[in-house]
Amino acid sequence: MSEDLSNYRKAMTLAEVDNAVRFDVPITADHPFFTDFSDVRGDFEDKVLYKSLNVNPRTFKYNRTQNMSNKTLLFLAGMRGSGKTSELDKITRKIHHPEGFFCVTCNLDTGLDSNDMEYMDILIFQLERLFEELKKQKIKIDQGILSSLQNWFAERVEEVNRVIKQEGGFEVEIKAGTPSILSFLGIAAKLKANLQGTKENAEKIRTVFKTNFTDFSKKINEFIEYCNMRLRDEKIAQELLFVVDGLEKVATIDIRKKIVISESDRIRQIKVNTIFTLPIELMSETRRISQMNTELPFPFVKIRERNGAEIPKAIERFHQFVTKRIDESLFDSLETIQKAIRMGGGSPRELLRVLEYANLYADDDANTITSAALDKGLKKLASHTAQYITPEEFKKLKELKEDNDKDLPTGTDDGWQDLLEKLIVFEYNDGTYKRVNPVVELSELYQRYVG
Amino acid sequence: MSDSIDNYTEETAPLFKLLSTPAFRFIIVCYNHYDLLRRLEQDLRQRFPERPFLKLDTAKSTYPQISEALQSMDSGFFWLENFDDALKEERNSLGKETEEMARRNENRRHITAGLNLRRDRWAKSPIALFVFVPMTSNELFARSIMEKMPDLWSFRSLILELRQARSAATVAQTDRRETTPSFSTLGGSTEAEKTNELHRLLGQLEQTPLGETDYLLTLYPQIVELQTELGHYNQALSTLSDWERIAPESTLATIYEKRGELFNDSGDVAGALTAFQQALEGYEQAGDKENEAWMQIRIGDTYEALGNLDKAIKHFTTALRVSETESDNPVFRNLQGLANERMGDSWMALGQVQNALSAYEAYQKIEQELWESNLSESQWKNNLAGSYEKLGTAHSDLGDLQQALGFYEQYNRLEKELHEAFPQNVEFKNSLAISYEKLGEAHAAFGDLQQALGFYEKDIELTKELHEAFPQNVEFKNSLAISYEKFGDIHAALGDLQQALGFYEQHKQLTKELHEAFPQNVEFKNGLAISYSKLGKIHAALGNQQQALGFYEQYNQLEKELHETFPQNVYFKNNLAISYSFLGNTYDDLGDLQQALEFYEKDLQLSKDLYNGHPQNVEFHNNLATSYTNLGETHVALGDQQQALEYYKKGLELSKSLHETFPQNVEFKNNLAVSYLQLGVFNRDQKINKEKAKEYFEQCFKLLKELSKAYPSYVEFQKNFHEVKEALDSL
Repeated sequence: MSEDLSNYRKAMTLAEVDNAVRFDVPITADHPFFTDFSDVRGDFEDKVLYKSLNVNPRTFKYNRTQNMSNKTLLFLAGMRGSGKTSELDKITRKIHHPEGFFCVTCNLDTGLDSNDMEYMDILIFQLERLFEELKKQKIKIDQGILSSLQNWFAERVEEVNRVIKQEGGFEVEIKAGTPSILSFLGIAAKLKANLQGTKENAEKIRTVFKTNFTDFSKKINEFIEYCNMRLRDEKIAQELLFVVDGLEKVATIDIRKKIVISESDRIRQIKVNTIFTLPIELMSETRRISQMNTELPFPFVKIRERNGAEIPKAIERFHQFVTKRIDESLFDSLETIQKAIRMGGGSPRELLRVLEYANLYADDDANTITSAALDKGLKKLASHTAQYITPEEFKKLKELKEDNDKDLPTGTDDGWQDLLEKLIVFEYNDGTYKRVNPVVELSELYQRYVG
Repeated sequence: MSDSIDNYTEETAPLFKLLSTPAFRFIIVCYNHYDLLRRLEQDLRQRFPERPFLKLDTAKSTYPQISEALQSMDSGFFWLENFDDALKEERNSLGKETEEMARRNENRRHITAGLNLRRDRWAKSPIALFVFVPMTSNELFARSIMEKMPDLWSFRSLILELRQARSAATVAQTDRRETTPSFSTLGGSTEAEKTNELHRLLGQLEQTPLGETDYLLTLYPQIVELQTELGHYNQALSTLSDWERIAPESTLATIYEKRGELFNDSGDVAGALTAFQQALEGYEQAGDKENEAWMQIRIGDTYEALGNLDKAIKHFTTALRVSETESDNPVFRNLQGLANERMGDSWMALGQVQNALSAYEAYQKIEQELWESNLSESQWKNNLAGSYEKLGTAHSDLGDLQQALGFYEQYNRLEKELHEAFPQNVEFKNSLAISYEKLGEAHAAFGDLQQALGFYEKDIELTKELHEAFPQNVEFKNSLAISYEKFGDIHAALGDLQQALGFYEQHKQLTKELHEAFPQNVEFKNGLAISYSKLGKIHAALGNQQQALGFYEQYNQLEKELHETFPQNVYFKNNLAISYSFLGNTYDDLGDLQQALEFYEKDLQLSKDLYNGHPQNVEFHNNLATSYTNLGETHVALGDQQQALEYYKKGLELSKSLHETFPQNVEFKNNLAVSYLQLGVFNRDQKINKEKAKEYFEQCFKLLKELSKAYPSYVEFQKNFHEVKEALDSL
């Protein structure tokens, strides 16, 4: 991630704006672009997240004595582009220390194939990442434990190969060697590579691990707890914490649902502190997920109340967000920045998209983003976005507008999930406050159907 | 196709006419019982003694072998048995063809194509080429033959569909392995590997400071698992207690559940029930619906083992209700399937096979749906295989062997695939062994004892491997014991009594060891009792009545103890009744009528209780009829005519109603014939009513004529038929 950020600097000229508004690269908490929105996210407060992890929000120390055997499985549910990754980066930096956790981040969108992913893939990826971090820290692991784990994996790979061979496919080539962190890392990496390879082989690997999942979980749980002991012995951390980010970036809703809902039983069997970022559309499944553990909504920043009144503190924070990336002198006026912020609807990523489009229509010779350029960009963006909305969905948008006009909350049902996923509708607070994406409101289609 | 008609005579008449002119013929014979082949062979040999006769098994032959054999004949009859194999196109459950399957399919295609291609060559000789296809499923074999061998078909062909009434019990089926032991992959797949892993874990346990609870909590479940698999039940129980001491409250229910399973394994059913109930309470308090449903199933299972079927059904119904709360969740959906399966088992135990069938159909539907929704879940595939087994058993009990065999074949195919994919998975290996056992049973019931023997051999081979890999594991030892018993049964049915005796002795040896190691275990005790009964039967058949008596006494003693401990268990009660009846038979054979009478009366008392308590249960109904018949005979021998007549009439009444309800059942038909015969003899000998005696003999004659014709190889039918014929002639 740091490599991507190396050329990621504040734009002092229009030519530099495009690079500065890239919304595909999450910002780390130590980057100059990082803006802390935690106190303007409505009902979300990061102290709740710390408390869910049994971490003191002031000292960031993990209270292990009181929470032994009480592993946290936390789902952070929020819309795409709401800033979850950056927020998680900020949080993990604060809690990654000898009195806190040993945080291992797993970015699914970069580590796995987002078009074909199952929970088994994630778990194998988690193991690979854990071994990478253990290697970096030069943590010594008992040979007996490593051998036992490696033998178990080698037997499973043998099973996979037997099935592949029966069907005349290419076998998974794994040479385990003498058990060590490095050799195990090799097995995990090879398995992961095969999971990303042919669909047939990936299926076979998953079948074998799923068939033996109860034993798989026992082996992993033993290894994780052993690592926890070693981390304490080495005074590196109190316990392990996995941050599995990017589930919402997995290609289809069905794959996402399969991972979170169908595999809930398996997720529960792995006893390790974990934060999963949860796709917004799965918030309606809160009942089942809350059984699994804690679920926290991660809403957009609320820049307006339901009745339309603006929230100055939030607007001001977004102003910082914009000017950390684009020098204020590149805008023709403060109003242009404010208008762009309003059109972002409280989503950092959507705001960057608005700025990207404004920059497309800006006059390079004048080296300024004018209000007119912003309007042109918004018009284009609005017409693009509105094309994804069906007449039926416009009816729902009308319903939403009427609720908001009457200052009434709108409940959550399956019909909203698709609109939320497509970022046509934004959600704030605990999900009861929704607004239509302000850019969509500008479109001719919206005007025609909703008015 | 109805099985109630014996059409052999009618169907073969045109064949014999056709064959009287020697010419090339292509004859397709579909049959519903293997006995029909023997009957046809016998008839052909009698009618055309001068014609050569050659037989081959299609499933074991290649086209060159068939061609060579055909060429070696100038005339006569050439038989290709199991020709259905040549018509198969083998695919796995995903519709794919493995290398091995492709090889076999190619061989099959060569046979049909070769026979078709060389038709003119064969047609030059006056050979009747018979191909035999069992009616084991609903497949349209004739159509397939037409498609694969169109030229041969259009030559001079004839189709015969031979049917006869089913024999209900060609081979006695006693108990079967209900549960498959679940074996982990922890440590590896051999006893030595698992022992090493256990030592490693125990070493870790010893080294780890007591304060490192979380780590210790990951060790205990593995240690318990391995100790159980290695057969160290007492150590496993002790590990569970250590685990319980440091476990957080949220995991206590899991520990109680494990304890319940361990009690179950060691035969302490009452202890298991208490532990499961504790676990259920824990899961309910935690709001864990999934485990709550599972515990309801396990409690139901335990009540079933205790013979309390009403309570068992109640718990299975609750499990179904709980699991229906989240029907869109595959885990809960699977629990619904399992609850249906268990209800089916209880209905079966109650003799209500139609109800059981409905429950098994629901089970199969759910498992099919689950597996289709996720083909990578082997557990769903294994459960689907299990559902086929249950359907097979229910259809077998209903007398529909064709359907049963079809289901057992599907069961076997899926288990074969699972075993091939996971050869180290002992659960799948064990299930595959059971599927062979089921195929063996079905083929035995189908009359094809050689085929049955082949499947039993495969079963015993796998079961032996499992027992040898884990000699301490009692489940595998028990499975092997049962395999020996089945092997004994099939050898007995084949008339090889000495071989059968050898296998029954091995059966007894293993069950004795199991019973001695786990005296509380009901299953092992019952297994030992059955082994004594089998030894008694075989010694009786060998003419060693005194030895038979000794074994029956031991059988009776154990069944008495089981019945006293579990008075509600109808299975044990029924076994006790049977043991009294066997003792009665043996004393009768030894000439001690008073003793025989005493045992028959005990049998009657229990059989009456069972029948009155479960009037729908066919087995109890039939046993009661037999009890009356036995008492009738004994009273005749003792000279108490009035009492004898009364018993005979009661027996006749019950046999009649059974035959009316199940007209296709051979055993019931024969029993009814015997009842008529006894009453005929009684009326004749006592000179009560000559006309009445004649009437009884005629009714008996009619039934036995049908039976002896349909089953020429059954000595008992022939003997009775001649007896009644003579009786009628003398009148």
